[in-house]
Amino acid sequence: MIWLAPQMPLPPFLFYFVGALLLPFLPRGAVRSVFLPLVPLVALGQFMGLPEGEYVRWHLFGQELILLRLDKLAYAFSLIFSIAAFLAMLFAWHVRDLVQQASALVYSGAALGAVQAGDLISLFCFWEATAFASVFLVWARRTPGAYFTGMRYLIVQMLSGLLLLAGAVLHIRATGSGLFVQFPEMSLAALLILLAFGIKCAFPLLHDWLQDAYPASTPTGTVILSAFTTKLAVYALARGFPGLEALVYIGALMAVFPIFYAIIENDLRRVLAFSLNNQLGFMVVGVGIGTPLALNGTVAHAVCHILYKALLFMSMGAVLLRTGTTRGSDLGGLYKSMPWTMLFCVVGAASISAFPLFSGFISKSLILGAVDKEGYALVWLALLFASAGALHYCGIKVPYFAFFARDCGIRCREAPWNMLLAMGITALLCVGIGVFPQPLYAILPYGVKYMPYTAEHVVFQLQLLLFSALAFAIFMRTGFYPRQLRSVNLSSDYAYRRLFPRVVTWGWRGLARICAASGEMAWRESRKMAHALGSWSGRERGSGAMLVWVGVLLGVVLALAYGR
Amino acid sequence: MNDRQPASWLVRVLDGIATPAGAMRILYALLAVGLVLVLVGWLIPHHDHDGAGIAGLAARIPGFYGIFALVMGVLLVLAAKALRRLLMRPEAYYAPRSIDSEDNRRGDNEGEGAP
Repeated sequence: MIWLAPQMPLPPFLFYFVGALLLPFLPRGAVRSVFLPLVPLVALGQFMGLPEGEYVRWHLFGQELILLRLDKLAYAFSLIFSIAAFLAMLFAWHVRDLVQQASALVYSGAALGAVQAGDLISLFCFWEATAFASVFLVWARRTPGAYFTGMRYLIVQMLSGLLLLAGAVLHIRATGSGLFVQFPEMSLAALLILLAFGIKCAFPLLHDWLQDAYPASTPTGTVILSAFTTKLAVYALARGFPGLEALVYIGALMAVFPIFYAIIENDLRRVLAFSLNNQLGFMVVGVGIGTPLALNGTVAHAVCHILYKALLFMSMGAVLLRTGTTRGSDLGGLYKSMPWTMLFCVVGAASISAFPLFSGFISKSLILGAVDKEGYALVWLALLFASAGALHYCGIKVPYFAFFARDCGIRCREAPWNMLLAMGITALLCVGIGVFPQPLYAILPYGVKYMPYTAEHVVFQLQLLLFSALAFAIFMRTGFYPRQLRSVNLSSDYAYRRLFPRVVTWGWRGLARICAASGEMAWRESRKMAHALGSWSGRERGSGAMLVWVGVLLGVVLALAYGR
Repeated sequence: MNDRQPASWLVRVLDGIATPAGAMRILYALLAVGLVLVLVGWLIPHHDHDGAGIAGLAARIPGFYGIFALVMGVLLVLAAKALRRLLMRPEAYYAPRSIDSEDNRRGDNEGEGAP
């Protein structure tokens, strides 16, 4: 039975899904390119004016499904998801690949649906939809490597979905309610759901899918991938587990360990994937603290992070499109060919490094302030280290090795106009939020009285950043900084990419040897018996006797099978 | 790929900076501004913290943030270099089941080509 609220708005995700269905029937080229960025705008218009509340309800098998729940938390994420989808579609204006276009629409729509879903079953459906839709963005590269990477990505995402489903079913059986609200206690159901969120949020040791899959996508695909999946998980954590203390330590670990990998990583898009992981750590710490200030910080940081991370991935996407590589070892001196892309990349880098007047500054400080206020001294130091590290491995490294460093000799065209436009708007938003944070603070879940621009805060942050930059400059001058080398670095995914397949292979080989040995023995015995049976088969060594015995064996098997 | 354009003003400005001498100038400028910031940070009144938390303690140590950034920067790079010895493998280590050693140009499926 379907029951809809009196004023019945269509759930915004439907616009994306219907848009994806219509896409193949639209004329190729400009019409589709105009259509794609329009979809997020129309969907945004659909929910923007709605007051808080639950709108589209659906009773199914005794469960109430809520397809449109708008509160402050859902609204903030819905808004930034819509903006990100618009910018990513604009960035991909020139793409003529229907697979990428349709999957980008479904993926963005599913992510939007997930943050607006009010119950666990709907959340699960959208959760899986994001996984299915986004894997096509990895496969869109259409190489064998991308195929295998996509499969690994899909398996991990499906595992997350399965855990969510199992947790949801247990939770509904135990409480009778499928509403997606804060879990009151750490039951088995809540633990399974936390693990599901943790996989999608790239918790330590569950994180490798991110660095594996994101650099494997197309220049435009990675931009879309970077915006939704992990921030959906952050939203889900903020909704389901605010104030869970374990998250403080998990987040701190997440903020710190990817930095070491990012420094020695060669593929600059993978460096950005590591930095994505590191920034997620800040958000998870905010969720773990769980105070209004901390949760505001998490949401604000998610909003800023989606923008500057998209901007950084856009700039590297443009580099990949024009030069065919994002390996730090193969790039350098690109500012001569792509000065505007470089400029936008630097804006993104300044934002992620939290330079004053850039977006990261006004959001990261909320989380650090909350950590300090709650007395987590070590976590505060870890996050400070992560902030300083962010400048090293991302803020300076990415623009430096792509656009400056040693001139690699590549001379190419500047990025296409649509990419420059998308990067320009995103860069403006990064600076705009950094200079005027109040509109962002206004959409946060709790009322904020926070002043990011105090003399002390600005001076200390600049101290941190300038001395980090100084350390980098000294390392570069002395040649001490790790060189960019064509390489891969082992991580915990070694377990399922190498170790587990090897163990299975060894196991199979062993089993096969045992089978072969016992088969040979059986063959020898059977021949002896054939000889013993009669001299008529004696001359036909081989096939004749074997046929007889195969026939006998089959007969025995048949008799056994029917006899039971 | 090789269509050279006339250098824009932005490129000309950057050409002036991206030289070895320019890099040294940046290094000295960073040092100078950093030291000024340490001085300013020491002199400004500290109102942000009630003094109980670690941030309040850090604010009272002159140059804490600068020293922290320098020391941690050095440790970070040292640790990363050590980590590399342990973890680095050839690019084709996971090939053909990974994109690491693939030619990216093959992956450039942007349809009919960008404008």
